[in-house]
Amino acid sequence: MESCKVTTTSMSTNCYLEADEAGPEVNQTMYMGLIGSLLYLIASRPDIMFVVCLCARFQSCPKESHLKAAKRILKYLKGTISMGSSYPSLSPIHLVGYSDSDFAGCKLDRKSTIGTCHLLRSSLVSWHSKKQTCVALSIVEAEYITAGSCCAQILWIKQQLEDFGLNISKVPLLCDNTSAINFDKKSYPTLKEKAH
Amino acid sequence: MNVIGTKWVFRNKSNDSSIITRNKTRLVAKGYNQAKGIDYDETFAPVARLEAVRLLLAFACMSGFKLFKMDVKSAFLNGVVNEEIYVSQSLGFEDHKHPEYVYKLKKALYGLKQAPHQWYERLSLFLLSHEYERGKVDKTLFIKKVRTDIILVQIYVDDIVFGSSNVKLCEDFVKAMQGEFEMSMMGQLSFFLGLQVKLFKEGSLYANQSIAKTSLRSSRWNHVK
Repeated sequence: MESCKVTTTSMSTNCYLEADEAGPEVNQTMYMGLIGSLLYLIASRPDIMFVVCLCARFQSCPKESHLKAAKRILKYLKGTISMGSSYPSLSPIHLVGYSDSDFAGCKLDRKSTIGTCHLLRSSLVSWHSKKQTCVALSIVEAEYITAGSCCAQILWIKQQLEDFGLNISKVPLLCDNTSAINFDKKSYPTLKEKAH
Repeated sequence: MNVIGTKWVFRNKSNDSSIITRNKTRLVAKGYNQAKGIDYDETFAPVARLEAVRLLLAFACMSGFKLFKMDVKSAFLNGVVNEEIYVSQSLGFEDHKHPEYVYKLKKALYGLKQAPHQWYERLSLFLLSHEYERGKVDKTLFIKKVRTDIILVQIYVDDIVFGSSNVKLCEDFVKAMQGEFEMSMMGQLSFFLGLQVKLFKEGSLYANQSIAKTSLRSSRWNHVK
């Protein structure tokens, strides 16, 4: 894998992974090992989080199409091996939460995948990507669930910063769905929302 | 009475260029023979979330703290066991006069079910007695405020990252820890939990480059395109 070509993206835009029952099988132990190593990398690489979690769903019965997607991540990693998070100093302190979800992104069970990240000033401190456990019936519902889990994380960070002796009164939570924002305004009046 | 067996575990430690630098041995207890309610009770032990570590990094850069790291040598051996536990004599060190004798444990051994719990208990009690406060949501964060200065101590089992607005507080902390436990690898934070932390003039940057390289180097994934 050291002499492989480099790709600039971790997955193709038309990447569409499914169970692929007819496809040729690959060695499961090897596939699981590969996913395990990639999962470990998530600790510092939010850019591959979504695609690694996507590939990880097929560990019980991996096919060649899944392995191909997983290998693309490795090719991408090769080109971006020196990347990491940076924590600059000096700039006014503020915390922002971003949330988004793809409505019915998983074609197998029509569940949506949530994605959230939190920036303390310009440094990324926390990120999260997870397939929802329930089926959202509308985009608003999917976005609202995402905003909820983003909010929970914000509260945790806020509390942690209070322990550090830092009080932040207003934390904007950014969400790209107007209906979900209007929905939010009723339940979380203390948080300031903005349409993205 | 339940006598727990012991076993020697051997491990080679290698440095960055994978040359073996140290041979380690460790006596472990066969914790799987322990009976719940007799040999152990609580086994939970909190560990820090990675987000907490990142938040500490970001906060330290922002307030201009220097972060330091140290770890406790054979941490679990410091835990005190409350239960009456007996272990068999260790292989190669049997007493020929009394081969039927067993040892009663005063402190924890690696492999015991309660070892991580007791270690956390010991460390947190020690810090609390030194006027450190436990974090409200993060139970692995310890804070001490002295007038306007603050020291933050984040614990990840036996790895400790700490930083303070006043160097004096850091020195006091190191001194206190060294007085109580056997410590090693002290210094400015450069590598923690697989994250390489590089410090720049205007802030710090981290990447777990070394692990990414190993992951690519693994020849197991060579055959499929």
